[in-house]
Amino acid sequence: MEKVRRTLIFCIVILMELLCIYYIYPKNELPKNDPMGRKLSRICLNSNNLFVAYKRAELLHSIVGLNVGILNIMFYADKDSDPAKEYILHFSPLPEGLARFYDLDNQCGSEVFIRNDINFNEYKDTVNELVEDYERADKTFAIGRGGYRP
Amino acid sequence: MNNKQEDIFLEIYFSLVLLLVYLVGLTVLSIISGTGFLNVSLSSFILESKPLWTKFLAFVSIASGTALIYFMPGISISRLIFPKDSDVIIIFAKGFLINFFFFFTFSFIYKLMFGLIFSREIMLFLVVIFIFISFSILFIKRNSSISSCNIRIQIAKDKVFFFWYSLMILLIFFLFKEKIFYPGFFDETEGLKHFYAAYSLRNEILPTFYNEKFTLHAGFSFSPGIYINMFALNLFGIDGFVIRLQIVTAFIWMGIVLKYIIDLIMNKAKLVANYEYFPLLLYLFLYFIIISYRAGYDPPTDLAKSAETVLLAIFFTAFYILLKDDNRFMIAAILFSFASMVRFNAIPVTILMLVLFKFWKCLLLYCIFWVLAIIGLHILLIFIPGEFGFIDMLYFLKADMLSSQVHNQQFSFIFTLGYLRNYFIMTAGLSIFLILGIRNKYVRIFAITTVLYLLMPLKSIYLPAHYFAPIFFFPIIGFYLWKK
Repeated sequence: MEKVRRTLIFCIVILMELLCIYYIYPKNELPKNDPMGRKLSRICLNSNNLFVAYKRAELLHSIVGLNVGILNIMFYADKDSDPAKEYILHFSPLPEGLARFYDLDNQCGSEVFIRNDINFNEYKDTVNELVEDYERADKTFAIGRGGYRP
Repeated sequence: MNNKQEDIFLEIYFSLVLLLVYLVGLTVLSIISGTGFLNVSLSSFILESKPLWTKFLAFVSIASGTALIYFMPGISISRLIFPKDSDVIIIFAKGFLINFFFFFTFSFIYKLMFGLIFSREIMLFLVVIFIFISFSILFIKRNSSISSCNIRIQIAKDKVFFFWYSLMILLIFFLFKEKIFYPGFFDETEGLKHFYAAYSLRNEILPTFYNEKFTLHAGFSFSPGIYINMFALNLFGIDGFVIRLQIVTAFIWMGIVLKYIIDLIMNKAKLVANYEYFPLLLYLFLYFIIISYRAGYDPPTDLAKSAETVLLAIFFTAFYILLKDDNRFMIAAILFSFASMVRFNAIPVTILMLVLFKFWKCLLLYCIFWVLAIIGLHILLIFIPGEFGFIDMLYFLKADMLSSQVHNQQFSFIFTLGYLRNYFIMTAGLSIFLILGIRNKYVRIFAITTVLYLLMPLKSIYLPAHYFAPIFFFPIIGFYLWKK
């Protein structure tokens, strides 16, 4: 009797776990949507140069499959460059700086590593393209407030 | 050399093989990508559409590098200098500490002596030095006694379990490769903070915390993790996946510790048939899905958000040590204290567990450690400007347990139901056994702990999975206990 009871309980556990995995496991392509159907609304791209950041954005695009656009990637060679007015630029004290970009409209941030030895002009066209792409993209994907929640 | 020494010689030699695999992998991949040895990005090989063998090579390189950072050849040194140890888990835990101590000390010395810049070639150099130091210790200890625990034989005893476990881990790597190896971060929270801190540590003595004051909550408890991340960042390159590697390693470790806890409870596996480990494997798989996708945040967050996996790994290691040998209460108390620092709501759970299992010495020491930690932090407060200390800690404890941060959230019947629903989904019906098996003394302990924990009202009905971390695996332990 005890053995039957044990086997029964064992089967129930396995069944419930499988059901749970089935219920929770995302049905669509993996990172596209979470099980609650919410869209990824924020990207942060870290790279030590803009080209790599751009490549990673492409990669993200191919993985996620959303028309994310490329959010907030701007590149400035030095502090005196005139940033586009909707962006605020913070330089961190690191020698190879981590710059934070805030998009005030959407309260989003994004990050790009900056290397001081890169010539901005080399990437100027790419940056312009990126910005245009971003402007063309559906901006709703960029909306979302995350922030730190303990 | 006798048999034991030959065994250790082979172990250290294996570290050398791991290093070779890592170097060959990196060299081949750097030639293919044309980026140069020091700049090759391993994650891009796994995620982008590249030939299968390059993906495999990148994966093997990462696995070997991770083993070198975490365990190898620390476990061999552990066996050499602690000859009385005969337990695999304890040898591995000590091996990890030895590895950490070595890399921490030598990177520190290196920075002080040769300047602050730390890079991949220096990290590789340290690994080589460490392996040679292990050989020297073996040579020095050639005539003294050595721990007789043969790790290969111990693992071979449980080969069926480890076979299925490895398959599960490989499946997780395959299914969640985008989550694990994604080179950036999905949001701006913990992953990015850890990354920033580890990145800053490459060129500094102490980590610069990301856009935040140095708090106990965010800073102190994660500091060792930050150092490990820094080593990994040097070994694998500036890549976001490095931060998640720690969590994945803790997850793999936690599964093994849980298996050994169950074996210990069930009288050294005599009462557990091989097929009976399937609930555990499925539950671990379920846990990984939850921490990957249902962390309870909107937008869904990075895997690095679930840093509490590290807490669970530490917590269960301490629990295992106590169960195995009551006299090691001091080590257990340190580990419990550390685990509680990662998530403060682990404090009442730990105290409750220690009281119910009557581990009085450990409880006493645990309380003393907390008092010392509080005093120590107040002393530090004199030197470091910032907002941490006892009051701050109490604030986080309160915020963790009583939702002080959300003022309009009321504790209500509906709230409780939503809360319980989330919990029962997470425990996949295993909580039933906390009810069914209530006649068993140990099951009762786990049931009481779980229920009391559930009674603490938390922030919202959309609970982040990591709030459950301190009790997440109690039902599965309860399940095996019920069968005893």
